[in-house]
Amino acid sequence: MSIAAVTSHDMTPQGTASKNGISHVLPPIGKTRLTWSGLLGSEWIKMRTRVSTYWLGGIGVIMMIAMAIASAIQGSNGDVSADSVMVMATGGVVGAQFCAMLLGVFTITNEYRTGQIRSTFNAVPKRLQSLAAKAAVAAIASFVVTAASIVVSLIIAHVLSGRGLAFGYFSPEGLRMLIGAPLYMAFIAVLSLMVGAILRKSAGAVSIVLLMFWALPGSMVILPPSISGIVAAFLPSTAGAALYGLSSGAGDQVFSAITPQSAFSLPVWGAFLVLVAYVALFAAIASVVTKRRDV
Amino acid sequence: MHITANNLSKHYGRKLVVDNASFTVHDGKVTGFLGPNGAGKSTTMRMLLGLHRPDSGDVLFDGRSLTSFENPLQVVGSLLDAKAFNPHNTPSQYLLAQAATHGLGAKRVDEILHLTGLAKVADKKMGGFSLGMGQRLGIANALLADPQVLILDEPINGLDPEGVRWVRDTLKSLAAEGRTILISSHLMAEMSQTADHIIVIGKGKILADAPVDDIVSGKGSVRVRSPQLPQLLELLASRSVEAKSREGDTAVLTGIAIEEIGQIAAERRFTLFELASVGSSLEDAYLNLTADAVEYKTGE
Repeated sequence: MSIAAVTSHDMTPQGTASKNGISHVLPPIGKTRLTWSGLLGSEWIKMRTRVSTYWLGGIGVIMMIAMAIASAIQGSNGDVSADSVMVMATGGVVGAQFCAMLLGVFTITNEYRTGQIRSTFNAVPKRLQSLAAKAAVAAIASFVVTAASIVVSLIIAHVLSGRGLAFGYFSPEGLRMLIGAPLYMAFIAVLSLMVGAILRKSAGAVSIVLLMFWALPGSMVILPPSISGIVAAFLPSTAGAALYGLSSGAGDQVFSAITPQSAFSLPVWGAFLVLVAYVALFAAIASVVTKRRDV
Repeated sequence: MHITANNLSKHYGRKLVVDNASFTVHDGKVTGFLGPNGAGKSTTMRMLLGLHRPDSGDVLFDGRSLTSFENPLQVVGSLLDAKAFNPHNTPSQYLLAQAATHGLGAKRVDEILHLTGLAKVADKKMGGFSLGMGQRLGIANALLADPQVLILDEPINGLDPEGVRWVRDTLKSLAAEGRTILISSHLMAEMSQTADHIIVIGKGKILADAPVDDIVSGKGSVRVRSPQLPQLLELLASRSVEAKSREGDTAVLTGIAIEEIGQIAAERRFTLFELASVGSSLEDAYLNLTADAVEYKTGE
């Protein structure tokens, strides 16, 4: 018996059935094992074979770079600080976060919609491992693509704003934005994925995330001014802006449209913890329902 | 490897879909899982795979829960619905993602695509696939990691005759290799050719769990035609065997083996014109078993 003998019948499947009792119908394989690297690899294959991934990635990158170009051209007349250039390079996150959000949602809802989730959970009966792998891949992809876009945007913003390619003097503030923006994108991808895991439907999940990131900040005006600023500081979009935006001053107009101006703001580590808490909360709910539910 | 289902129950809302079902699926044979529409076949199969959570009861593979294995896909492969994939993906992509979880790669995917006759469409989008192609892909997915157990829900639905035959031969050979195979179907003729053992479910309850031969012969009747029919029936009545139907010199009897009637006739020197087993097809046996357990019946 050999594998070759079996595969030589490739186009006539009925010929593969064993007649002599020795040959194997199925070419045998050695002992396999479900591993984390295998799981991540599997989720990565699924991500890069979804058409939407490319659309979302492409639109996100274009948004980031276009924002950098537009703000660099506007700011090119004056004397531009290194931090201002960083603001130009990360400002696109305000728009591009929409892409990370959809990427996160689709990573899980796509499988529920098609029913592929049953194959996935057959291979990975410990469902939370699969959920974790999906979250990791969505987070890494969002982080890497955002970081790469920022580097490109940074170079473009430097050139266009007349600073030239004078790097090497990033302030802690600048570095914080450089790391904060990709981190925030990874956060929103994971949060959206968890909402997707809870609702299992794209439309519902997208609505909830939009509500959290766009409608809630906008509705802060209904609260008394004395507390609206404090409440707003704990919203995920505001906490995120504290990670990737300039904590005070000129950069703020970029996202002032979606985050209420207020005297109260969280320190960067506080904002980071708020985001971690949001992810933890939604991941906990998603874990419970993913584990319990029939698929 | 054998699967043991212990006291499985499942409600959907207030409706009891599976009612305290216990059975064992043994290795080395093809077990057919039969039942009317809505009897709980698919639900039970999904519970075996851990996809639907039972309200009570558990499922063990060689005494262990599926989650305790380090190579779940090599323990059990499944086909539940034929078109559960992203229509924009190709068979290669779909199988590769599944294979990758267990460290298997393109070589294995190619082998399985060839084996299932999908090599030609390996890189075509699956959206345009027929039901039969979807079934082949689902079977490919189930076979991917050389599993010891196969759970296939209606795998021959939509297959062409060549495909049906391929599935039958393949499943029999896989069983002969010592694997455990559970296959549901509502096609009795197909099942009687493929399965060695039958589990019948109706209204969520296990109605029968026996080798095909037992199920078929146990429920069979005997037709006897004799000029001395009244005397014969009288004799049988004393042994509390009643005629199911009687017309002229012909009667159909149940609850007695055909050999026994022959023996009695010979002893009493009755003339027999005809002595034959009837209604012993799997379909008859099945319809008998499930007569009271049919959820959706025509003419009601």
